Amino acid sequence: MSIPRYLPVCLTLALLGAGQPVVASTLASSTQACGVDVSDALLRTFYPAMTGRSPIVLPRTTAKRGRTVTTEVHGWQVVQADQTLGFVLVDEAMGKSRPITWLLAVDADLKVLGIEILAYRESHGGEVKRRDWRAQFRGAHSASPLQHGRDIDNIAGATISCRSITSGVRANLALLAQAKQTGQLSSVIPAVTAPPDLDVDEGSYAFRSQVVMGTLLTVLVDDEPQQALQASTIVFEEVRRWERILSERDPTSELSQWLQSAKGAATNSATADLLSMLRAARRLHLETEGACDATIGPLVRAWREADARAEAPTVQALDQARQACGWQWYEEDTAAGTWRVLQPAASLDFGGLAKGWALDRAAEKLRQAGLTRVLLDFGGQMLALDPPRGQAGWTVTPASGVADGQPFTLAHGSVAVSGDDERGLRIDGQRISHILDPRTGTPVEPRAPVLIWARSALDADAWSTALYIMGPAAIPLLEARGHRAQQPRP
Amino acid sequence: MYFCPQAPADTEPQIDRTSLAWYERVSLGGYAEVHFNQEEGSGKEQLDIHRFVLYLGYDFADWIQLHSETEFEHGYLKETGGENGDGELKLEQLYLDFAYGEAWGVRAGRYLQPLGIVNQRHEPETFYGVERSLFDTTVIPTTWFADGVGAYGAIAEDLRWEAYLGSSLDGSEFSATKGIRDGRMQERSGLNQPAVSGRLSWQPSPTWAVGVSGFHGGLNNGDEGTLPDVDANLTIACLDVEGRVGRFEFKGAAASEWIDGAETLAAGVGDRIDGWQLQAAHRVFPDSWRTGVHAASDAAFFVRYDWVDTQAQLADASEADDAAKRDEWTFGVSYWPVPTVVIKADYQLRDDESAEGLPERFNMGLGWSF
Repeated sequence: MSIPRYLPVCLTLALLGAGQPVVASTLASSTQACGVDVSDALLRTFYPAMTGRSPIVLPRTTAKRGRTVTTEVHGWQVVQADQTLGFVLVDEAMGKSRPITWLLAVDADLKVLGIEILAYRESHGGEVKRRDWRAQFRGAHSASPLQHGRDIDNIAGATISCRSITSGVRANLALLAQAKQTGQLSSVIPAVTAPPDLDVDEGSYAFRSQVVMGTLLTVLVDDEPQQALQASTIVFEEVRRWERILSERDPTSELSQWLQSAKGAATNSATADLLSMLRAARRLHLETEGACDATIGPLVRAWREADARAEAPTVQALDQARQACGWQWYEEDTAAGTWRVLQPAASLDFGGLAKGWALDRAAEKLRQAGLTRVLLDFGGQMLALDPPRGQAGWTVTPASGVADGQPFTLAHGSVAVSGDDERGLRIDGQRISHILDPRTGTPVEPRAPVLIWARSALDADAWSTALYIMGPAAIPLLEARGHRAQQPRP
Repeated sequence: MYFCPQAPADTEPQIDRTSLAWYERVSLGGYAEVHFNQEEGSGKEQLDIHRFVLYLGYDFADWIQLHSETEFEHGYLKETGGENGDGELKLEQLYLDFAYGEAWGVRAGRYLQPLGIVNQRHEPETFYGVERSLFDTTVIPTTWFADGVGAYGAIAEDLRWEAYLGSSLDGSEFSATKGIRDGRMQERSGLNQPAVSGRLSWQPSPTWAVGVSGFHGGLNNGDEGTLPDVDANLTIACLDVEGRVGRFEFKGAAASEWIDGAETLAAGVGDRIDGWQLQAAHRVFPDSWRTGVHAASDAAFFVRYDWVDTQAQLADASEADDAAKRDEWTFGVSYWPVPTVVIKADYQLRDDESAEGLPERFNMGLGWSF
């Protein structure tokens, strides 16, 4: 199993660097709107590559009423250690009335490893998502007959979807075979693959993954499939709910609307949810001595705008942005129960906290539902509730270079990795890191990965950021709060 | 962590179906059945454009979808009432699905009762036989819709459910031999005594499915008001199974209906109605023929037995009707040139307990869906 620790950066690079937003939208249509639900361990190995880039665009020509129609099918080559593991294609098939977004994964010999339904949009016929139905395609290749109703079982009640996906698999296998013959597949650029910082041993536990907040979230459950489905649904719904609440892009999100109204006058419009998040962010700002700062929105924007022009932000722009940051602009009147934001340019960025926070809230929901033998893996940050039956904890293995590289067990707590590798950004030809220091307004130099333990995912998330920014100076601070850090072995 | 530039949740294009053009949000479809029926003995024969159904759907948002089916029966309609031919124009389905959760949603409007298999899935290419079976017309009076609200969802990958609260039936239209069929309300259903209905479907594998469904509702409902003489309610329990082994297909269904207070309804209406059916089919189209234009063709033989008793229990024996106990053997063939077009033919041996019995019947049909 592979965890795309730097998936957000990878995708950003794909969008900016590769300059193919259209390609990215193929995946985005499934990740953002409907949630990629990757239930197959093998495909998850492929996932970091898929989100990295989309170097394969294969024109598929079909004859329709005497005309030929060409559609572009987008795909990824999956490369690990200079070896091609296989290819992934994302395509749409027609259901009764709405398109089904689905994915085909093949090995280097173009034999089917699996198919996934990424987005199913109808209330009938969703049975095509069944694992046992999809498993029928395993091992098929372009010469396999793949006849619906013969080689591939039909599911009563989902006939149209089954037929449509079956013919889609047939068409795309033929397309890949043809591309291989004409040499199109050998010339593609290898996709970016990142070794995971932390890897959890899946054992025989039930799991489900979806992309939420731009990151792959995996729910591992030591329970019956039904409970596992229930647990993962609770987690995805809760994390998605927070994604909506905290969206800065969406002007109708709770956060955006609250900020808008608090800039005008003192307001008590914050919901209990948002209030708790605001207070937690303010507390962590104090605890980390300013290293973890959710008011950094204006600075992030300044860098983003500069990046779009591929140059460094001007000193003036940075100064201006830095002045609009800081909790001094956010006034809480505890007696009146109101907040006021005094700086018109202020904006909040929960990028450093949202994932940890959402994990904790999801864990709360799981406890309420009595589903606690669960581990949540959010792009490499782990939050474990109870251990699996008969075990001391969930077995987590850090990548080489992270901590001491030795597997450890995790229960009732969270681990995160703070660090960086070679995937930085370039501005003015200079390589820069992707994390901003709120205290200086500039990106931090890359640091070696450090492992953080904390009781809550929020603390682990916040302190991994703080540690990255402050360096070893943060260790006594975090240890004083009962958290732990482990640096790589020299 | 603070990503610079911003994390992709912000940079990824958002998919927003409400910004699509109207034609991208509309979906069209439908199905049709053209039948030829000939009765032995009497020699009565007819060519019948039995059904033409138009499906219209619309996406208000990714999670709010409209589904509708408008049915035109027998291809002719004149003024009102049955005197000028029995053609019908009606809305068979008209509902909005609100997909609130990943695994569940709310449905509101005119929905199909989730009883048995054929009531909800009746495009001509999906069932065997030209005409709907004795079981599917008498015990479960397809197409049976109701107006109300409900919810649907999946408890697990192989376990789905749906449940509704909505309009019931008009008990005053029940009869000794047609059972509950004529009690279906087609317009402005009275909601004096509503009904609950539901279904649980278990699919242990892609090829096998078991469904249990039920209904309970009062029968004191007129077109717009109440029926002073009617004091009765109806409970239905139905079990259905379908499956496939290689090229063999099997289907079975059984249902019982209990009418509490049948004595307040028409004479001869049974206290209990029973029915069941069993069907086996064999797909015979050879793989070697599946080339060229026949690449997706298929053909099958089938045999089905239906048994129905609309007076399985009767309070007053003097009201017993010989025509209440009926059975039906159907032998036939289906040929699909493409999967959504079907040509059917069958022969039906029908009988009841009356002296004259029921005439045998030959049927041919052409159906398609799109």
